[in-house]
Amino acid sequence: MAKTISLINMKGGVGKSTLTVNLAWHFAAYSQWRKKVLVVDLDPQFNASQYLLGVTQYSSMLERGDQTVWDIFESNTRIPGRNVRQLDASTLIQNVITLKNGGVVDLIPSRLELAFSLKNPGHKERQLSKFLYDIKDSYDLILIDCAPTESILTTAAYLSSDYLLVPVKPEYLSSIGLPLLVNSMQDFRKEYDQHNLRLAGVVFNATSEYSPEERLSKNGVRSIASQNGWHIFKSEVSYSRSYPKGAREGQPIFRTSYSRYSQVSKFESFAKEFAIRISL
Amino acid sequence: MERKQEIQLLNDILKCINKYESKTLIDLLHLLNEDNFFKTITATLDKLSLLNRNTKKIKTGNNNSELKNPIKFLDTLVEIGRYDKEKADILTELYYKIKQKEILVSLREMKNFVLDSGLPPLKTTSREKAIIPFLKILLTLNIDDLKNKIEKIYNNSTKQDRSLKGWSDIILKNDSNE
Ligand SMILES: Nc1ncnc2c1ncn2[C@@H]1O[C@H](COP(=O)(O)OP(=O)(O)OP(=O)(O)O)[C@@H](O)[C@H]1O
Ligand SMILES: [Mg+2]
Repeated sequence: MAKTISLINMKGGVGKSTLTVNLAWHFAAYSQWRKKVLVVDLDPQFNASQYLLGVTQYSSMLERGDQTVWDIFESNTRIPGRNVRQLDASTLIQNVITLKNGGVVDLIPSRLELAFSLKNPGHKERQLSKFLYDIKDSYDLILIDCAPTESILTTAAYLSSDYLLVPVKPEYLSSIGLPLLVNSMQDFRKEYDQHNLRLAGVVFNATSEYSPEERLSKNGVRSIASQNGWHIFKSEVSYSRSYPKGAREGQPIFRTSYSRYSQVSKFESFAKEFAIRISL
Repeated sequence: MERKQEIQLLNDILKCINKYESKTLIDLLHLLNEDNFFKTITATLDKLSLLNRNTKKIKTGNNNSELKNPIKFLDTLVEIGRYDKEKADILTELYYKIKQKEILVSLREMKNFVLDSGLPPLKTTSREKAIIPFLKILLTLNIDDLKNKIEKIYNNSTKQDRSLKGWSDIILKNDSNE
């Protein structure tokens, strides 16, 4: 049965999508893992879908009328004069890569229309967890790439997850996303006290080690973390141009052209630590 | 020099004719005139000569100059083209496309492809040096396998539309549908 982890932060641009895709590839492709990984793109901006599918595959998916994560939230909504759309895992889940070694990366893509679900939230927050529950046995790991703002999608992600992984860029404004997340988790726990939501930890992303500003921000984050009993990963994901480049090439960092071994191995250390934290 | 050899060959042939008698010669000429026979025999000779050359190369060690000399490799392709035109054409086209960076634009991409298709890994450290060894690996595949793999290379590079234009077309089309 898969472990489900949401990558979340109330701040945008901290690396949620980048880490989601890189972790998915890592656990599918590295020979010591060979895991079956499902990525759920839960952001109307659909960055993870862009990264994993590219233009051609994404547009042919739309042309075929395949379902997306939007359908999961809308499948029970009765639109007058229209039939209820049945969810169909076979068109909802796109295979990104099946490796010769047995590893798999699948994707439930997102689309802009997901934003409209937010305008009419109804009682949709349990839809995702219900759907994932039925397919959990087919995967080892499910990674949910969240949007940076609080909405019904956040609650849906919490309800579906065993753990949260919180990427933080060690910058002043970026770190202010953390108290917002603390708030959001507290509200959630009050309302859904039977759901055991654990924090895998905070990971510093795009670090460079040299700047005093960075050190200040990290210290701020550390003190919030310790107040809340949050784990901070020892391994950090360092700043590297190979990450945006990898997104352009549709590759994880370890397959991106000219990516440095030192950068790749830093990501590997983080992935290893992460796997231990969630007992993968 | 060369003339001398040719005359020697003619001399040998005449001796043979003498041995087999002129009737056999005339029968052979008729046979050679049949289109198919001629094609088969040249193809067989080509194959034989190629095989001989390849074994010689292996004997003289792996450090064969083809690796460094694309012209020699292309010559090999021309020779292969005499009996397996399809394979030679595919590989020649592939050679130029890789060379001009239309596909497999980096060493990493080439190595990824080799790994994904279960081919023996490339050990070179530069893209330029990897091209010929890469093609040589493909050369050993049978034609169906080769076509299959090549299709994946071409598909991947068309699948690799990741342009801003592509995304903006999708996003704007979406908007106008609303
Ligand atoms: N370690 C890194 N080094 C360099 N650039 C990075 C790193 N991590 C992420 N980036 C880049 O930062 C930008 C934002 O990253 P990403 O899209 O993953 O963030 P996000 O948290 O998912 O954003 P959003 O909140 O908008 O969904 C991207 O251009 C990405 O390539
Ligand atoms: Mg994102």
